[in-house]
Amino acid sequence: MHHHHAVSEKAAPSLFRLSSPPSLHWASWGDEYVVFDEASGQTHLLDPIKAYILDVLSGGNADVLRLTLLLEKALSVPAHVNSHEVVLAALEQLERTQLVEAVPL
Amino acid sequence: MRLADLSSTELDKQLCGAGLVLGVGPFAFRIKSPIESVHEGLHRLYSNYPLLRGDQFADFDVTVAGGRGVRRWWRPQAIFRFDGGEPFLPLPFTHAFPLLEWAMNWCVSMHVQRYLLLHAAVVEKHGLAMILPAPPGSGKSTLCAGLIHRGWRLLSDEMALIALQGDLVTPFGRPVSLKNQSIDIIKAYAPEAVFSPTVHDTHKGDVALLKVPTDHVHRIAEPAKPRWVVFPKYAAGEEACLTPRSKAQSMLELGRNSFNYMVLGRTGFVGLSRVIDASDCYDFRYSRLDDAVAVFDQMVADSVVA
Repeated sequence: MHHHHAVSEKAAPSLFRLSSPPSLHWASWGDEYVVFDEASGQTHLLDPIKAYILDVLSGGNADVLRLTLLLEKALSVPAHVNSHEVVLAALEQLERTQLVEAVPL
Repeated sequence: MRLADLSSTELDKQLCGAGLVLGVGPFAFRIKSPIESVHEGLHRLYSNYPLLRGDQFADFDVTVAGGRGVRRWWRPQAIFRFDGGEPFLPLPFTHAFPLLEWAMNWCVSMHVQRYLLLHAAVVEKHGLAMILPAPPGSGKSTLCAGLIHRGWRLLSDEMALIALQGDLVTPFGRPVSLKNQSIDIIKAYAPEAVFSPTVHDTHKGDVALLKVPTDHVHRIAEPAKPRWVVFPKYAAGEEACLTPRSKAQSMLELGRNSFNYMVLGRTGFVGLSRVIDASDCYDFRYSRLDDAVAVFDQMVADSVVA
């Protein structure tokens, strides 16, 4: 069975964007973030990494490489952590909750 | 004028005629019922609530009537009518007064959009509101009933009304619905408390309604500021234990247990995040009411000093 999933195709230089850009509203306490997606009516709990990715994408589309570099700069990612993998995993979850999507090539 | 000012004859006349218009917090209910247990329940538990003029606008027209047809002879029923419909299945006739209470909750939870409605009890001290959300069986109403007989003011046993402008909690204090063992626990804990007769074998088990203390009804127009969100859980034999809880998780949990958070959309999100901003959030496990009172009183003392 073929699973089509943009994030899992690691080789593809996918560009990501917010699924519904003007409709996100935020609340945060410490390193916990809650985002309300007006388009879907859903409220999501996010960790700092997913919140950061969403925040970057609010400023414009970005690919995995750029998101990884920005994340490494912005958050103190421990040396043993593969930030590329972290970004891929976060994007996959953000896609699943329909907060982000891959830009069609 | 308060309901207690009506003679029993006049009360019967209004309930059987054009309806009794009762002010309960921000809402007016026009209540009609020919059923004696409803008359007695209202007389006993709502005596301090303001009575509005019969021609005044009422937010909700509620009728609890007996069943019709031959059934009324061999298995009499109580039926809730609203807006020309019958939203609930008929209940046994003896359940008529609790049915009125459930019907009043239903009216607000299904129709009110000018507040964010959270499924939670709310009590207040020193102007600070404690929101107690909890699923059935967690001991929320028992805790609430205990607290309001130890210096806390009842804002609501069932639903927190959060203003959409600002974040104040508006009181909607009505009789506290106690079930099964909780009835005797509170009768022993607050011997001065007034109860409705216990109604047996409802879908919630045995139910008795506890009268709201008089001064709480007199202060029903006084809102309070959210200060704590506490998720209580009765745990037999355990010492009282208050544990800080994630604000974000608490917000999601409150949203899930709201009657209209999804309907209000962004307004609901903003309102709920304001409540969480203003509140410390906790899980609370307890087995003795006095322990709970001591813990909560200490939270107030700490907050007032701070």
